[in-house]
Amino acid sequence: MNIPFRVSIRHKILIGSIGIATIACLSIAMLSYIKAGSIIDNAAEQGLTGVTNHLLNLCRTNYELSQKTVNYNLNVADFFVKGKTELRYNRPIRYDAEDQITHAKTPVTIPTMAVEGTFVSNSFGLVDRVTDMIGGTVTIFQRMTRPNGLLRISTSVKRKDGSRAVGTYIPESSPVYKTIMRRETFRGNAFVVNDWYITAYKPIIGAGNEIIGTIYVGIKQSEMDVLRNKILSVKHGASGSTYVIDDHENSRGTLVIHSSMEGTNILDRKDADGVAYVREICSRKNGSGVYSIPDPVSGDVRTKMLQYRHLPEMGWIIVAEGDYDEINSPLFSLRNTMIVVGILCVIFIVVLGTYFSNSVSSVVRNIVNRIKLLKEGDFSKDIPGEDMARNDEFGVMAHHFSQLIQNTRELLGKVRQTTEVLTESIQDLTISSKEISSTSNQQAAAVKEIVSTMEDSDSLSKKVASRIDEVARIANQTKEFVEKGFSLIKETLEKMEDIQNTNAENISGVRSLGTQIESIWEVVNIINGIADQTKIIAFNAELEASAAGDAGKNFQIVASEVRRLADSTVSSTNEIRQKIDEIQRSSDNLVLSTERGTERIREGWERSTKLREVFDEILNSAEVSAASSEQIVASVNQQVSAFEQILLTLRQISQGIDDFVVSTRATTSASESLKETSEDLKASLAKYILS
Amino acid sequence: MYIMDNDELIAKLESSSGEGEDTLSVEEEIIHKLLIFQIDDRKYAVYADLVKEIVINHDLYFIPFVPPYITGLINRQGQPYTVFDLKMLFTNERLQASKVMIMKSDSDFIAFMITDVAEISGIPSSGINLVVSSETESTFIGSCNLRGEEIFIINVQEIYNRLANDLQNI
Amino acid sequence: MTSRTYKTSSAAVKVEAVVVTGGWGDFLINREEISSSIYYHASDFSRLGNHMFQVFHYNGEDILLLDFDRYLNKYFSITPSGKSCIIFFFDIRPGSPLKEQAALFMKTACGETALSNTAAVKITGTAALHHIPLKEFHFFPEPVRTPLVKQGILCLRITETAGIQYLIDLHTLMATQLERISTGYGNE
Repeated sequence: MNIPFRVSIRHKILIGSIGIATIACLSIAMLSYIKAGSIIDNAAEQGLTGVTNHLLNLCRTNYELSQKTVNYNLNVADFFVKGKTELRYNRPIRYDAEDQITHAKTPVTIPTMAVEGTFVSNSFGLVDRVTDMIGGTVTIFQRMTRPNGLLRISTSVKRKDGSRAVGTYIPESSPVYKTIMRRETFRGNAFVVNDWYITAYKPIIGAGNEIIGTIYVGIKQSEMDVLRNKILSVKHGASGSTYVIDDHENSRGTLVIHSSMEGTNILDRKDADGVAYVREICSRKNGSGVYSIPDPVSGDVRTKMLQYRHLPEMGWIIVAEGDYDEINSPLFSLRNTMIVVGILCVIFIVVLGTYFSNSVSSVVRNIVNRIKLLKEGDFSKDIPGEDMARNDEFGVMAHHFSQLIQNTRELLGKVRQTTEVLTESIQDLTISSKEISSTSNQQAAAVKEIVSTMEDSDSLSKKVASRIDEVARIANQTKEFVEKGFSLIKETLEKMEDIQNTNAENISGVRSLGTQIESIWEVVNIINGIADQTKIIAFNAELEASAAGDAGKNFQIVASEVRRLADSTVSSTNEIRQKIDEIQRSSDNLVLSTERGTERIREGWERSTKLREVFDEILNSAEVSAASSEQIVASVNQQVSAFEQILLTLRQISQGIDDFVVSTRATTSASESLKETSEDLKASLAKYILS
Repeated sequence: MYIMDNDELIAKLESSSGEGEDTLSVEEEIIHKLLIFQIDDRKYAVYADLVKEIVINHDLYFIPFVPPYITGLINRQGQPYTVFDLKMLFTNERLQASKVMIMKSDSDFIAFMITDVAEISGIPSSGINLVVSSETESTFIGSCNLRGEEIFIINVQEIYNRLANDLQNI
Repeated sequence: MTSRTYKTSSAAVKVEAVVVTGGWGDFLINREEISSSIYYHASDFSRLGNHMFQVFHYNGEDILLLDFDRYLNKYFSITPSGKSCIIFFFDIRPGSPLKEQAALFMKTACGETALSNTAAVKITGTAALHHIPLKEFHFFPEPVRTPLVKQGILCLRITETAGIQYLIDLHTLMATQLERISTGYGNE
């Protein structure tokens, strides 16, 4: 099998460990980064939300307070005009009435208005006095028709050019006009001339109980300095900012409160991605967003996180802005730290991985090298000891592999030995089969000779038959002679039997004599034993007597005499013993000689018996010879036929031996091929190095 | 051998009459009773007063851990005796015999295997040739001449001591 | 050897002893020394070899076993024969020299040190328990008494038929034989 490329275990372990570590580090870093980013974003958003909510509440509170002030101011202003205002029809006055919204001018002539007899049309003493008292702005309106509206005839509201906004009128489309016409007091923010004010309008009722005009007090929303300062002071972060965008219809998108661009309309401003974010803010009123906003001064694009809230009472949208980079600076710091840590981890993993991979790969390498040697047939080298001494699976593997090498080595050794033995045995077998083959050939030749000999015998036996008749005649004569001799032998045998019986009687008589001598011998032995014991007793008595001194003197004499008697008894028994020995020897000699004579008689009798048996046999033979001549002829004939059968059998044997010769040749060739095979095996085993 | 004439003989007889044969005056010789026994064909002697008795055909009980000249134990009237084979002791050959000569003793209880006893003979002191003492004690006390035959007298105590020494060395 | 003193000449005192008879002479073993005994067929031991001391595995224990037939053959020149064997088990007394000798034997002969606290002796023959009057026991005559006692043959008994039987102490006998083997004196 072709291996396209090889990666060693060491590299695999190294790559694997580095990969795992890197992936783990990256995964952890990314998750941490994403999570931290999310947390930071949420925190920033919450921060900005807090800011906007705080400002919203602040503005609302401020507005309510301002509205209360305005309401109070209205009461004050109303005090000056209520019930004191009249129209002087006899002194009309002409104005170019300018719609405060459209700025369309329309000439109108209306009676002049007087308050407590003082003309107020185009006169500013009263409004200024009231203004001085209550602050803010005060205006006296006069109702006009054609067009319908409320014309400013005396006011402290100034135009942009600083002139008083006399001659401007609130059109009938204005909610202020509609509210006044309903004889109600309008309170709220309203657009006055060129700005929004927190206002209060109250109808001025004439003598005839008709609405002749309106008294107004108001505070410019944007002139609430404390609120303004407060809004501008609230920042999120070092580079965050807050500002207020005007959401009123005619002035939507104008920066009402801003640190540097108040009054600027930024409704159509777009961010770096082309998103009209201000328009989006004014559209959504409440929400948040991230925009890439170019700095209006430097032009640098910064990513900003915006949070905005709508204050409907004042028609404002309060925006809190945070610098995205500043918000996420901890995240970036964390990112950088993670990168450094990650690199360090990877380095550490590389070092550790290198160490372990080397540790693992060394033992694997050793085993691979041993396997190479085994492949080349070298079984002599073992696994290094230090590999087997490892306390891990590789150590176990090395140990078992070493065992495998040893077992294989032993097995090959045994196979080699067995092969050598087998080779020798096959060699012997080959030699033996060759010898058997040659012997079989010889036997085949010998059998063939036997066959020819048997054929000769067959012809010879036929000649024998012809001589048998002559033999029969001679046998009859022989029979007569033998009968005579037989009767003579019989008489002789009877005589010899008598002699034998007489001899046997003599022998038994001598034997009984010997038995009696044995009995005498036993008696003599007993007497001897008694004498011996008597002697000992006498000795003991003598001892006691000698120990007794004089008192035992007589006893000593008696003991001594008894001992002498015992001695003489012993000596007498010795003489008897000698005599018995002589008698026994004589009787033994007699028995021997008698037995020799008996032996001779027996031999003679046996010879005679044999002679009789021979004569008997001769007689039988003669009879047989005489009577069996014809049988012999028949037998000879049978023999002839038997010879023929033998001859046939021998021919079959010869054939069989020939077949055996063939098979031994086959055995020889088989053993030759076995020999070659064993030598091949031996050669195959020779290439293995075992030691 | 003490040589005397007939007068001296008669005088001695008159002075010793009525006294025991063994009681002699100070200047008379002491007659020692010696028991003559045989070990195979050789004769040995031992002082008769040391011998308790002779027994025959007693069962011999083998004991191990003893020198080879100790054939075993016999039991005589409820008392075991250690039996010595003097032939083994003298010639290193085993004695085939059935008689045992038991010695008198209060504590030692030893016996000797012998072929036969011959006689108890009275030998005067002058007839006993004592062994000159040397550095070690001899197995024989001395020898005597009995009818022209030199007979060695066994030193029983020494044989006993020999056994004690040999047992210490085993 | 534990010192044992008997009361002097009291005909009423009897000793309970096992008389082992094998046709080659009789031996006595004090009943107090034996804890138990079993009968075995002689052929069961043929596979254990021909050594005076063997390790007999019985009831899950390795027990040091003295082949008394070998002992008799060596020191008494007797060759017992028979089909039945008796094995006597006895507890090795603590502090007995046999304990130390047995452990040493096992360590040098077999390389094992775990040995039962029980020893055994195998005898070919039959055994019977007898109550023997103390007066029938006698010491060996001096000076053969000392070496025999040292070898574990304590004393003898003279029977009613005037025969002699030897009383053996198994502890002493086995300990001295083990000592002989360990010193090379009695090579087996």
